[in-house]
Amino acid sequence: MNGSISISNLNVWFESNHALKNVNLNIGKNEITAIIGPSGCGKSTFIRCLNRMNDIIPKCKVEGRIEVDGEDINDPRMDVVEVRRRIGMVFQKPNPFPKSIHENIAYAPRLHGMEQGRTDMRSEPKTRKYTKKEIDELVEWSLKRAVLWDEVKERMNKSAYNLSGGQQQRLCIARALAVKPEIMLFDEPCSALDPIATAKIEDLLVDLKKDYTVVIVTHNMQQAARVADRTAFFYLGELIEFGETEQIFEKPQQKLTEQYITGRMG
Amino acid sequence: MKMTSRLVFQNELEKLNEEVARMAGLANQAIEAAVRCIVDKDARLKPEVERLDREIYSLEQVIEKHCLDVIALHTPVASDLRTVSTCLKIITDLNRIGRYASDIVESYEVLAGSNDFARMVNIDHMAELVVGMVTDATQSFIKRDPESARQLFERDDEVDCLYDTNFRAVVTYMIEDPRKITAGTHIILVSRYLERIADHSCNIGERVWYMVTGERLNPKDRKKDRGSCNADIREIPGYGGSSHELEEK
Amino acid sequence: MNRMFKERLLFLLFRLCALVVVATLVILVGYVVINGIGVISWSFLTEFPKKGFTAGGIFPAIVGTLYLIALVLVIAVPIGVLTAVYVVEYSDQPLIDGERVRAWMRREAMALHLRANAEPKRPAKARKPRKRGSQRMFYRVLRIVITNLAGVPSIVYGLLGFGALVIFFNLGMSLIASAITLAFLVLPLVITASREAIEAVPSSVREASFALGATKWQTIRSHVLPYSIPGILTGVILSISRAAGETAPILLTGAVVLKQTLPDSIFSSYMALPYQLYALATQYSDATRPMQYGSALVLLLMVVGLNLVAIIVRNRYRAKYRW
Repeated sequence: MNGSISISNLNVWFESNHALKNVNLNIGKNEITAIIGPSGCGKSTFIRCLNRMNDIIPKCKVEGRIEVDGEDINDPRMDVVEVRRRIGMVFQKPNPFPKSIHENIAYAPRLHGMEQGRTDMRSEPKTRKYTKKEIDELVEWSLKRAVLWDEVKERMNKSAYNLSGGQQQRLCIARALAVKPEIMLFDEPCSALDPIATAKIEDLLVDLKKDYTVVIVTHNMQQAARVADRTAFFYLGELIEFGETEQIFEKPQQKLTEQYITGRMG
Repeated sequence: MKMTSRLVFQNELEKLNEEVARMAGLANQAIEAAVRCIVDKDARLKPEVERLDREIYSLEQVIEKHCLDVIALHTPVASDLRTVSTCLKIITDLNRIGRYASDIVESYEVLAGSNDFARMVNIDHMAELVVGMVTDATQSFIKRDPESARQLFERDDEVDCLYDTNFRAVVTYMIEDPRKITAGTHIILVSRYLERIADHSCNIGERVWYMVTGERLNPKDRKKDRGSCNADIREIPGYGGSSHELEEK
Repeated sequence: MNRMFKERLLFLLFRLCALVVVATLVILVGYVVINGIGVISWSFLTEFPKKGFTAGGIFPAIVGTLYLIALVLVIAVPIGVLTAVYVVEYSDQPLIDGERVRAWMRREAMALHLRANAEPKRPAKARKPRKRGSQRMFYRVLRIVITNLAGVPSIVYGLLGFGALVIFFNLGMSLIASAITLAFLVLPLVITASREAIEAVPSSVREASFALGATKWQTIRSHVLPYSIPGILTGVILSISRAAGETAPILLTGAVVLKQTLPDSIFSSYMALPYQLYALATQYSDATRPMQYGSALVLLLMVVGLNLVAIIVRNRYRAKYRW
């Protein structure tokens, strides 16, 4: 299992709007890569390409190679369900299912079953059904990993909507972790949360990178500066600069990057 | 990005700049006055220098707080961060310059009252160089000109050389005539202070280089080989080893 | 005229309107209840009518109506819900055959309707071969068709049922013919209510499900449909009321005035409360009046009762899946 992503010549169109122009990027494994840029620069579009969520949008056209573990996920022969299983996503607004906490997490593993040997992403892997005990253990493991177990272990059967915003978002993270992905994508995960909840999630991200490759889109530059190993700056659909976070924030190479991070843009 | 907070930030940066420039101007004044005081034996300048030193000291505290406020509230990055950190470091150097200027004028009484060293050995020349260096260092900060910062290092070498020469000359004279020891020590002290001021000016230049380019200067560029010092021991007219001709100035 | 006065005047007007509505309802229901309550008894509900509808009970009509409602729901709800699912979830995908067949069936039905009535209901659709680009057009037209179906007079449905189902498909005057006819009548209600319920499910839930690796159908089955149940049940409630109460469609397709036995299969004719009411009121003597009121009251109570059950179920689902 590798977990690095190699993006070459990625172009995305929404009808006639050229939303992403020739993006080339290499995302390292077990690293946190942050995507920053002003509104409308294409960062959400970019991250949604990485797990083919843009397929849901009817007017969207994607071209280019996105290689994960050497396989191009844009290849029409790829099983998109398998792609999405290996590359999990957490969204901007916490979106737990209106079910119990336990059900939220158990849903996906129950759907897929336990993998028996990882195969490529072209086909469904062989799986067997989880037993109830395994499901319970998996739920507990996911919640512990997302640092939520202690707060909810007494109310696993209560609705997820009773949790606070930060707790709901950690629930969504736990839910994504339960299918054992290799790569985790976060689309502005803290933008709807208060500073304390944000800090908890940032700590969680740094912990997650030990086992997963993390890509996070954020409009909060300080957040990128705090947690990311490498940062990519997008502007009007193009990748302007990509490098170590320290370098981007102390000595950016491109004038546009400097303008953006010092707040002198727009 | 809220435009309003960046406007406030820009204002703060400008104010910071002005404050540091003002402090630099004061330091300039202080060293000039100190040198005039000692060389031209002008007693009125001593309290002036001391007053300037006090002002420089309190200004350093004000500016330091100001820098920390900017960092805490506005989280500067990239070139802004370099500017603020440069300000923080430069004020230390400027404060030291002010302090040394004040130290220099402490020797005024001794040196003014003594004719042992008819013409201060090389002090004039050194003082002129050093005043020029301080001026150039502060100008390079105000104008954000890294090149003139670079040129400071050559003159620092010259100042170091002059200091060495002075030191040896004065020690020689002190050995020859023990009555000159008090005055001689003070001359050495003044030389030393001038040499230190030159070093601090170079520090300022180094910081300006970093602020503008983001690179650090190679330390080897700073210190040339001390052994190749070519300054002459300037002959002092009327001082050919006899202790009776000190009347002549 | 100052503002406060205007406010109060308007509110008074609103209250009067509401009062008129409530009063009408009360009077209507009250009239039926008062006249019918005396007739209701256990024997009334469980016996067959005797002596030319002047004695006995209305048991077969009750049974017939219940069968009918059940059949209509069984036919209309799955078709309606799945059509709604298709329209909402799959409208970006190319047409599949089932939909084409349904569309064809609807066109044939409209053609029949056009032949039956002198003036056309709406202009006939063009029959060019369908290109990809005109797919959106198709869905707009589909929505218009569905809405219009709701406006078709029920007697027209009756004629349609008679011509197509009773005669052409040779189903005869039967429960199934009536059920199919009524199913088409209530289909727009079910589709519209279901569609609105499905559209109300926020897309964030769908996205979350997709991101976890669920297929479209898995997402619909596990998340979209369950959360739409309250809305679907609203459609069901409306359908029950219409299916139970419509007279014109059933009189042409299977309801009979009197039958000595209960319907033994879906292909047999049956008795139904609305038709019985109509028949008694128009063709029988005043001596049957008690039975008429009794039927009316029973019909009312049946519909209210069934609706209540559906409302209770809907409320339970609403509580379960609180947003």
